[in-house]
Amino acid sequence: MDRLGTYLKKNLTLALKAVLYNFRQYAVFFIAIFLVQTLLGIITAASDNDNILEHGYVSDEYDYHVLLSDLNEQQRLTLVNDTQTVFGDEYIFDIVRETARSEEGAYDRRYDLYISLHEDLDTNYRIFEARYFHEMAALSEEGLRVSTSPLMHFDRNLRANRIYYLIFLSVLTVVSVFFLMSLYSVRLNHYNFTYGIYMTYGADFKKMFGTAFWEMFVIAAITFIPSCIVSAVTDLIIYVCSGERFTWRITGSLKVLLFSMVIISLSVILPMWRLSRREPMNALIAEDNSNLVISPRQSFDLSKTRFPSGYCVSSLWRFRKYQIRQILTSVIFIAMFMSVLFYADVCRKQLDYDLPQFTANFAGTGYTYTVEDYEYLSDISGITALSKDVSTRAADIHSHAALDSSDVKLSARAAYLSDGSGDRAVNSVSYHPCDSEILEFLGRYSCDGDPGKVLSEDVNYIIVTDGYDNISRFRFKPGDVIRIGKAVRQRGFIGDNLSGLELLDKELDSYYFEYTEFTVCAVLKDIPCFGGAPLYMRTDLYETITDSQAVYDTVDIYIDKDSDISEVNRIKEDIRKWTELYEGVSLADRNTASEYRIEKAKCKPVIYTVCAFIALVFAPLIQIFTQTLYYEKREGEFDILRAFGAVSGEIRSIHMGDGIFGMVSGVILSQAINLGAVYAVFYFCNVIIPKFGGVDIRYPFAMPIFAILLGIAVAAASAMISSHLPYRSYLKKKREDDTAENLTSEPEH
Amino acid sequence: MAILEAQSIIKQYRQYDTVVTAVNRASLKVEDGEFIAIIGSSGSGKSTFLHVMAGLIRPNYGHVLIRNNDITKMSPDELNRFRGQFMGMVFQKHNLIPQFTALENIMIPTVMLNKDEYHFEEHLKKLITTLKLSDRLNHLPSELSGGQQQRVAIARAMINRPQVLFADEPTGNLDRANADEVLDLLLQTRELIGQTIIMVTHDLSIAEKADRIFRMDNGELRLYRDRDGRYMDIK
Repeated sequence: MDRLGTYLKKNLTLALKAVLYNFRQYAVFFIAIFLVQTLLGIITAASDNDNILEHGYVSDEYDYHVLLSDLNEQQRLTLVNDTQTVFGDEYIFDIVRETARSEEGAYDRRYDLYISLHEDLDTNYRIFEARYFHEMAALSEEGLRVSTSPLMHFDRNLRANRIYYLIFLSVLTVVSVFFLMSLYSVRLNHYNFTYGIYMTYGADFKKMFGTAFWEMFVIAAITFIPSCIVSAVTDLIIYVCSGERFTWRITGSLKVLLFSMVIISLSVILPMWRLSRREPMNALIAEDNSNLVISPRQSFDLSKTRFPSGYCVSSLWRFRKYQIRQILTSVIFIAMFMSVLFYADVCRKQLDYDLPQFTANFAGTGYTYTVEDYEYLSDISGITALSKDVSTRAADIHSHAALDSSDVKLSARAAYLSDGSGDRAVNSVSYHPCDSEILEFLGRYSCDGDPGKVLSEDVNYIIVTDGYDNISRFRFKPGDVIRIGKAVRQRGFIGDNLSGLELLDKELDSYYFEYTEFTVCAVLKDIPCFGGAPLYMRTDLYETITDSQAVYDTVDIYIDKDSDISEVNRIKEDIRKWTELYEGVSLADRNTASEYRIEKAKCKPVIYTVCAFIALVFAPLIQIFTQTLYYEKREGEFDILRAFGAVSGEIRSIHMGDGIFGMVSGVILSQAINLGAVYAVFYFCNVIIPKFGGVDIRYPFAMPIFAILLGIAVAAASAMISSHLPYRSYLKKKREDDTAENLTSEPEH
Repeated sequence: MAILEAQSIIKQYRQYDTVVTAVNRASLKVEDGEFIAIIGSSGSGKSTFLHVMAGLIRPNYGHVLIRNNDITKMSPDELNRFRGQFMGMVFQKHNLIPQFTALENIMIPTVMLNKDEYHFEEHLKKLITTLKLSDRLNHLPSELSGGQQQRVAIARAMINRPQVLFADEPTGNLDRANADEVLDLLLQTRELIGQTIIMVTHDLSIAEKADRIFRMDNGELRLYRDRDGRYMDIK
């Protein structure tokens, strides 16, 4: 312990002296590590607070884990007079309350039992299920209706929240390591000569890494508490302004400290490792910027150029690798700003998106959902929309849609028809019948054209969407004609295990098709379309093409998202009265309103927006630091130029020329990289998330104009400032040098 | 006629509480086309004095007149332009620009002055040949030896055929044979265009070729050998 104490004391003291004595050298690291810790702190404190908020909301609204609905007397008594539990430690549940669904004495009285499970919920639920469900299901023709409350899934949600937090933290760690490593590499390059001397006199990787690590550790220790305060205050303001509580936990700050230690270790280890592998001589000769120069095969004929423009362009060309690298490093953070801002917008849209609160299921009951049911449910106060749907995938019935080539984008999986028409065939579509009720529901999506025409008896109209898998693939417009091909006779063999375009190609060769022509009356722009592009047509046309009846087994029921739990329960009771008209119809509560409240309380859009703006600061910080050190090493060069006749205006022009190049290339590169980065997030949210069972929402590929302009402005300003500031500094030094000192001593005689 | 006159130059530096007098009332008059050598031990102030005369450093006291122009009174930009037109400089530390090849470094002064009428191609060929740089022209300074870098610096200083050439240890990194060749080149150019050379050197054999030799000791400049070859008694 003593040795450890001595070791720590020695290294910390040396590091502290180095950092404070050379504060100007390390100032940028103070700012950078402070920003990184603030980001970590904001995310960590928010995650911890979200767990507390979620628990609060869930416990306030739900006092049970399991709901057994519509139990008959025998089923009820199975639990009330529980004979399965003998010993005290076998008790795994309590009946929180029971609700009788009809008057006492009524024939076939039904009950709802609200069950609270003890402690280990997953295990006890499995035991509960094993002990009682089979027995209770056998006591009723309708079986057993079981649903669970959000309180049941809270632990699972917590685990999901933790995984989500760890993923986000990992991304943040990678970004922070990249940021700090870039800064540290710039610093090492600037002090190449010094490190060359150290290595000449015996410094190895262990020594150099140790020194670097302790210096960064001291900086991180100094910035830790201020960053904790700033991140806590930031989160406090965000949550309080949203009307939510904020609880700060010290464990969160300890996590930040731990992660920042990991980040600073990783950010110095690789640059130091690379440096230690170099030959000391290579470091010694890089005292000027010669290591950044690309060696040419030919010399320029400088005599044919003008000064300073020709000089500036020639220098830029020779330093092109460095220039591109420093600009790229900076614009990557602008891209991060854009993509995080886009993701914040995605979270906002997710919150705004309407999901059904209830789903009534008629399957297996012999009943179907009809117009009369629609009218009944529409009269229930609080219900805002009803959605029914039935569909048939084209690929399942050897069908396809034949489209004009001009309507098909490159990204669409389309085959060529062999009829010589030049039309393209796609089977990534699904056919949906449409009536006035469905049309009313489709009114929530934006569209071009008049969707109401789809019900016309005179013309075969069709409502289409402009893509599938939530990506735009088609260029439809109202008035376009498409043909739906129905397979009527097989003429060839199709193998098994074919899908997608391969299946379609084979089908086109192996079947004779009958085509029904449709005219596009409307194009839906933002309807979710993961799995296939929905095509809506008149019900009779649907039945003809698919050879199946349009029978509706389910209906999704929407309510106002802001409804509180008592309102939700009230609506639920009203709907249950309707389900009691049919034997066997089940009603699932998807707890959408509750989840909405919880998600809204987490303030994710605002948190991510704040993080995006912090990430934006990385861009100018790294560019200014890099360029400042780069120009410092070029001061000797400017002195030479002045010695050969250059005036300050010409030196300024060289800086300006560099700045203009940086500005133009920075703006162009940043827009290109922004596009890629934002598209990656867009693709992840639109395609990957639904693919893995996430909510299917179609997000538009769009950025707010202010963000684009801000990104451009930062790229441009950063480039100009990072070239101009070194010039000002150089000019100031030269003015100080040019002024003769006023000294107190008299000239000697 | 005196092309350069340094009058009572004093240059002092402050180091914390101490004032260091690098040049102490040094005066020098140089005739047009003259070759002056300044010798002295390390730290005697000779390089500082040379830099003051070249206008690279401002003196605390005194004046430097070049062709009757007082450069100590010029603004920095005026002085830079003036220096570019009339003076050439060979630095002790070669100070080559790292991103340009040997040839490009040599050409820098020609670009600076945008002299359309000045045809330097012949002179350039001669410099390259004499300084044995033909097979190194497309190499960066980091790819050249110390001696090669020195020769590039000399060529760069001479490309514009300046009226006054200030040279600070120009043969410091060169072997005897090369040093003699460089000196011959300087003297030839002087012969050709009447160039005035003021050189700081440790090498007495080089200094002996000068018209006059001055010696710097503790910032004080004294004549060491006059035009007639007489050595002064310096205590």
